[in-house]
Amino acid sequence: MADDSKKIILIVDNSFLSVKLESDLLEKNGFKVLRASCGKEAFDILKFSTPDLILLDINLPDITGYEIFNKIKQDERFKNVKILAVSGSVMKEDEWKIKSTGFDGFITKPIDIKDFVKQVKDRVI
Amino acid sequence: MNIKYFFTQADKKLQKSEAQYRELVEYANSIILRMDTEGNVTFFNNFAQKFFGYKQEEIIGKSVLATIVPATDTSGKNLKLMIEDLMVHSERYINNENENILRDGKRVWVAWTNRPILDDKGRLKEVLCIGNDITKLKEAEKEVLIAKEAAESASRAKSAFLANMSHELRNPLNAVIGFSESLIEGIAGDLNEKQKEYSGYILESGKHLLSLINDVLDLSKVEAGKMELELSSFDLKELLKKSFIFIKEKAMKHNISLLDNIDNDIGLISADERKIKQVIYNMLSNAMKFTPDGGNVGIEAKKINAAEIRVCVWDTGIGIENKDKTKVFTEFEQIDSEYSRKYSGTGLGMPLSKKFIELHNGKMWFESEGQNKGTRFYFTLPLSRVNEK
Repeated sequence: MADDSKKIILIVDNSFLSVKLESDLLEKNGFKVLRASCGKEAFDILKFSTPDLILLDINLPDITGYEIFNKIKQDERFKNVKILAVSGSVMKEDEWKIKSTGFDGFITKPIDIKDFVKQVKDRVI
Repeated sequence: MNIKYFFTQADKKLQKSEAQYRELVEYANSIILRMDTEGNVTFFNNFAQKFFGYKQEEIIGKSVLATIVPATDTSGKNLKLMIEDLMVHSERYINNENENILRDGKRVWVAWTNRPILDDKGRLKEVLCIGNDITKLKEAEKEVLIAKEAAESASRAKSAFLANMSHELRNPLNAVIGFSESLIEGIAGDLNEKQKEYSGYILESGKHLLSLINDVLDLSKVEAGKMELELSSFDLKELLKKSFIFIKEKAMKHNISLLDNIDNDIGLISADERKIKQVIYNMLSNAMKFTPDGGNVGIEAKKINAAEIRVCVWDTGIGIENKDKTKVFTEFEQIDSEYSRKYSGTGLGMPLSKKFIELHNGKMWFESEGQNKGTRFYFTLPLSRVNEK
């Protein structure tokens, strides 16, 4: 598969090993992966690239996943980009907030590797 | 009859009775005072003098507000207004607790009984006040309140800590579970048998740790009264029939027969499906854990009356000895045996299950006739209105 035909996934997560795990799985399955460890890095990347899907951790060191989500969704350029929340939180309040924010899906950590890949594939292929 | 003698005797009797009365009032172990409608002290017994630190001549004729009643109490309540109100509505103050002040400035609490003394036209003349020192009681009450608040704040801190900890533990667990599963799936290339076996142990331990974290979090939610049921209508019979899927593999490995006996008239119930599933899973894995190879594990369900369903998970396992019976529903207690060592659990499954059932207004209990005689765990669920407390 030629590189430019690959679907692009942006992972925003400050846990290095989570990024490693998820990007290895996605690359193995034919995706091109971009990585950011905080909100600022994510926006730097988004200046030059338009991913097909963003995996967004909710608890980031600089700004919350909700704020990033809202900022991205305001930009016309990203209106077709799917955004999935990825979080270790299992608190009802967080789940409710993720749903009401309008994310295209919610993946809990620890991920189930088969389900994880399926969730991504279902939305971009 | 000698009239003079008669009066002398009567006088003596009167004097004696008056002395007795005075002694009673003066030396009673209670504060006794009277004040006029202006709030000026007209009588102050011996006990009151000792208690407040004023001699009789120092306080008679003075206002209680300038002496034993502070203008405001420590909580800021206006006691001047209270005294004024007492003169108008004395009936409201028949029994009244308020703060007072000693001569040396120390604040005390006194429980007062106040009685209006009326003149012959029925107008208020004086108020008779009898008081007892309740400072120690009030201090004890305050300490209890402080302790209660401290306990509540500690409980809130505990819940917040558990929520945070649970979150923080999920990132490292994501790596432990995800990478070991990746290895087993061959994503990093083929593994030899030993490597596969060891990776399996890592994955299994990671999942065990995850269920422990989830159980601790659930338990803290139940304890904090924050566990809410998500009620829906579902087919309990279906859920029970499918429940053996959880343990089928293990049962085959250990040659344990799985038997079910579920009545046909069990159908839809209104309950939290996820929690009921978790309870059944806990009961079944518990039964498996304590049943030696070649034994039986079963599930039974029947409608015991028009309003209740009873579910039983039974086994032919090692049973529960009397000395261990209190441990079953106690958090983090596990019955020590070669079996519990072989299949370690979280020690939270059954206590949590009981709490989930109780949230549904059901009951959970068990029966065991003793060692090696098996165990039967039961729970009941009301057929409707489980959400009403």
